[in-house]
Amino acid sequence: MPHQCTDCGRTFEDGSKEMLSGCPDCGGNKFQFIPADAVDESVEANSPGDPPGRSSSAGAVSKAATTVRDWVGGGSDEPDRPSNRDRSSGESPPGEWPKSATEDYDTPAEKAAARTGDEPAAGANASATADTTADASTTDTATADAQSEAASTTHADPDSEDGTIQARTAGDEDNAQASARSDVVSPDELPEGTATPPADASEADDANAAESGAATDPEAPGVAGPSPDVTDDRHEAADPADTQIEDRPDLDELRDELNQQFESIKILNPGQYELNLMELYDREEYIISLREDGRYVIDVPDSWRGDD
Amino acid sequence: MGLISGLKSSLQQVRESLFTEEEQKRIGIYGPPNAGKTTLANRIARDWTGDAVGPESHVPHETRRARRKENVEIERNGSSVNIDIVDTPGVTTKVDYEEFLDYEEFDQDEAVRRSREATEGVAEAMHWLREDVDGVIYVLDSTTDPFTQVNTMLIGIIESRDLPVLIFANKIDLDDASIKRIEDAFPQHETVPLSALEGDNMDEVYDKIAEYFG
Repeated sequence: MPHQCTDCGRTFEDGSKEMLSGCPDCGGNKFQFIPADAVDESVEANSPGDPPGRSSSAGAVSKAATTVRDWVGGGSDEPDRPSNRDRSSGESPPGEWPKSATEDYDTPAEKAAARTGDEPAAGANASATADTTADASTTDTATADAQSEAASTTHADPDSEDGTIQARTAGDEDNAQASARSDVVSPDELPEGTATPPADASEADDANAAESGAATDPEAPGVAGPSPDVTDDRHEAADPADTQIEDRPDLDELRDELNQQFESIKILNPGQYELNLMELYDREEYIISLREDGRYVIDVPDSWRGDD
Repeated sequence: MGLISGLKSSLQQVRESLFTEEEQKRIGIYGPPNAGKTTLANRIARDWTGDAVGPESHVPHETRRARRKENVEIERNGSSVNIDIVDTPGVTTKVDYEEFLDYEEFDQDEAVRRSREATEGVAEAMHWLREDVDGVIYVLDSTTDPFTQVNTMLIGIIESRDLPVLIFANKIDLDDASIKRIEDAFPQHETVPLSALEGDNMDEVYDKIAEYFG
């Protein structure tokens, strides 16, 4: 179940419609996307206020590889993540690594993975490269750090237009962590990069410690903060959250309406329809006209009864 | 004084009309496409009011909007029942314009348009079933297999609403009609054989209507 409500933790299958109008349980409209193999780590990773500890390098590295694969593969297996593709296609010149690819990695190792994945210019086998680099980086943190510095300086400028990135000037490690932690909330609530205290040196130490100590224990205590799941979340949750805020008042009705509209009449092609009789029977309003573009005209119950 | 008494009498009329309105049962004629619902509705309406309800056709989904014939008074055994007949579009789970193309009179655009209207008609029929009928005449073509998803689902919905329902096994004038197959399909309900087209067994039809919906 790749989608998870960041408020109550309820999870949804990939492609689920239930969350289209917010979480049915708590009404929350921020969700994170969790690849199935990372679900177990998501709960610990989910508290933005946690100290900037290190999540396991194993999880981080695999996440880096996964994300790199997503980018390189065009995200074809992630139909629910249009923002990913938008960014990669819209803001980065060909061959340059998309901006969030570098800043989203919160450990030097991840950056290294991303960076190394970048250098083959997003070729078809870049994901394989990323994988091997990710593995290597767990034992070669010095190189990873160096590469991460290089990566961040290279890509600092294109990011400046995005509100979540503005803190980058204060230092790459800080910014990466800041965005990683803060992207479970809306960009408005994003703290300044300088407000995220750890200096580069301590970050590197953290990273080293995590990579050497927690490589075999993905759930190591005290390493809650900026886990890869949170970084991944930014693509999924932050953008839709902004647009859904004004929809809050009638979430229940909206959800019901959406679900019913999806299910009662399926327009396969113009002139070809599948009907869900139970849904048609159960719905209170009444479809009086179908449009070729898939829309209906409905008669809402009040006006129906008013006629009667 | 004249004004007040006039007001009173008009109030009385309104009350009476409201009251009789409540008494009047709305009977929905439901069933799959091409079962003969409109033919039956027309026969009932012609027999008791002299008017027809709507055009009949061998083309499925000819009825794509529910049509109502109000105030059909059926006399049985000295008493009379007063019903509104609602002829509904045939209910189905799939509408495909290609089935209209089998009939030569339609080109593709017309077939698509009919298909869309038929789909809207099903939605309307289902809506009426939910909102607006007090009893159901369920018409089946007795030459076809009654064990279909649509029939089972609709009968189930009708039962869940505790509506009085009569199963009409139509088209018994055809050679391959099987009344028993329909009786076996819905043994919990009374099945009345008839041919709406030929007018066969209409006496029993009206007896049952008076009995069930009177």
